[in-house]
Amino acid sequence: MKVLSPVNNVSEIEKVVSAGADEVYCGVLTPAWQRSFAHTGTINGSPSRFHNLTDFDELRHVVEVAHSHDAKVFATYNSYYYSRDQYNLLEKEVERAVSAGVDGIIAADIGLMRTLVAMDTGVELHVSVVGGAFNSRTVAFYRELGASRVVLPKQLTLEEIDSIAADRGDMVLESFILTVGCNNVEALCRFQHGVIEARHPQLSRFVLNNPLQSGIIRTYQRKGAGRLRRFLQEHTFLADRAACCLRYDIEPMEAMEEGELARVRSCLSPMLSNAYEHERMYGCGACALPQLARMGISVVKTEDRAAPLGDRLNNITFIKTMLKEMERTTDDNAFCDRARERFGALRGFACDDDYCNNLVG
Amino acid sequence: MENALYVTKVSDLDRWEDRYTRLHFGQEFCQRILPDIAGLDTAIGFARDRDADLTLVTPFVTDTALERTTELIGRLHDRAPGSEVVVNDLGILTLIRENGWDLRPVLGRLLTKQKRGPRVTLLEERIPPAAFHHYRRSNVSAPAFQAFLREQGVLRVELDNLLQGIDDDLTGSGLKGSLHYPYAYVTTSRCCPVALCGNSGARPSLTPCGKECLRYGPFRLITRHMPVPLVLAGNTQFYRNDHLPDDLEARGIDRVVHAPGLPV
Repeated sequence: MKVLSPVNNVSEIEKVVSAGADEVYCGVLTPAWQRSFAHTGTINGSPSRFHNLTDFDELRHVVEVAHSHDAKVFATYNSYYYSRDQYNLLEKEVERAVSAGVDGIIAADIGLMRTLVAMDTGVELHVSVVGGAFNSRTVAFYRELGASRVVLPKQLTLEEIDSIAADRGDMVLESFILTVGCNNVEALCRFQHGVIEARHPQLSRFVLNNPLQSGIIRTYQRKGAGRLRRFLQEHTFLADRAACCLRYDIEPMEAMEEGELARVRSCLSPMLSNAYEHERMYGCGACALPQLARMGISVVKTEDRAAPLGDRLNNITFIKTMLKEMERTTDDNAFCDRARERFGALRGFACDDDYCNNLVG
Repeated sequence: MENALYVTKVSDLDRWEDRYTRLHFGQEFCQRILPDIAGLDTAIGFARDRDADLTLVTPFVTDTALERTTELIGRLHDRAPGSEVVVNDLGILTLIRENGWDLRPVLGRLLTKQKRGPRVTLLEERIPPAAFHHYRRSNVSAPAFQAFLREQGVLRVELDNLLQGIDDDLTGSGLKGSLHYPYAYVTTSRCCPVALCGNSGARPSLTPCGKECLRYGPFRLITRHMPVPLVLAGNTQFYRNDHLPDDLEARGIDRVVHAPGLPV
């Protein structure tokens, strides 16, 4: 089983492959694209200037370093759609990515996928999580379209993954591991990320591109920081973060008894401002690695591009360690205990049964 | 302009009015509340009695619900050939083609990709005109995607009534458009928030569902940082836009799909 991890800028590639990533993925947000369509345009699934390379020379360097470590590089062109006026520039940029030596393109838009097949780029075509392959029929559809790999949606149970994998044929299946705790389905969420960068460019540069970001996030997420977090979310530029991170007043549209309404509000609130409201930003799923391997999942992807480099490197090390552990034991329960133990050491808090197991299966 | 009524349950068929000439019946967002065969039969009879056309609406599905969805669509082929099927899952689209059913697939709004987050309206002055223009368009505007649809036999697409306006022009593409009104969907989840209403203290999860969405909600989600309130119904968030553009037919959009209630 291989580990795929993100690279946000050229300075990271050496560290990411040295940490053990077998494959890396990255996007390129060029000045030409930004002039026409801004970062919110969006060239790929991460509409942030801080989580993308800025030109194809940088991409070429990433490819050279990765290949020198026998690691593959996949370029993300996985925006959930491209509109008519974007295609001309999009095709040129994809051609340049291929010329830079990438091993594959990760895409989600069917129009782009068909264009790539017609271009006969000679590189692999992967279907992004944004492609929404929720069932084996859809995986077969993507195979027919020319894809060689599908990234499975995060919101599948292990049983559902198993069913798809049983019918995968020669399709390579990739699953997320250590997922970000967003409650919405990537393939079907139409909120616009990147609003904060468009409205507050300087503050965003400070917060999102700050080496201290990891510590800031940890503090922000700590239980005792709840009031501070709410104040910041409501009264500062942080209110322009992703819509799924906002706090909402919940009003019933049909009459409800007051006590029942209070109970319902307490149930709904944590789900509606989900990612940063949880004390932990990441789910896990490491304890399911042996099951995923037996099903035929051959790649696990650690995210997220918005996380600080230190966190991402720790994630790679954690998963690589568990994969080695997997080779040493055939006892799933013992493996799971070991995964929980190492997760606790990695994160500083205990693995959460409900959150972890239900998201992964 | 064709007017269609969209309901998800047999009990909502009483929302029918004389202005409608088509019934949209089914479920887009959750396979757990997909109508059963008896419900579909009732909808078929209801539409036939009113000399109305019928469109079966289907959701995105996992393998768990593929068989049930196949049965439902097969029943539609048997009982009401020539009807439309709204597909929100590419697997379902291939299933219709491979079975050779006499049905007309329509691309559902989960597969017509539009920027639906209300806060894109806040960016108009802050991003280049071409970028904002992109927000008014969808994947359906791209010739490469249009060609794919025609090859698949999809000649109609469903769109949402965006707050920032619609610039898709389907004329000359061989496609026709349907516009959902007044609710535009924004996001959806398989970890249903409303399912937690039946189980206080539960954590986000894929598995428990007591069809709480049929008992709780809908709810307005209000924050001053969002230009309009969101509406939570079941596992999906929407917004309401009552302003209907006056140039729809000039853009190749010749049907309005009216949902008198939230489609759960």
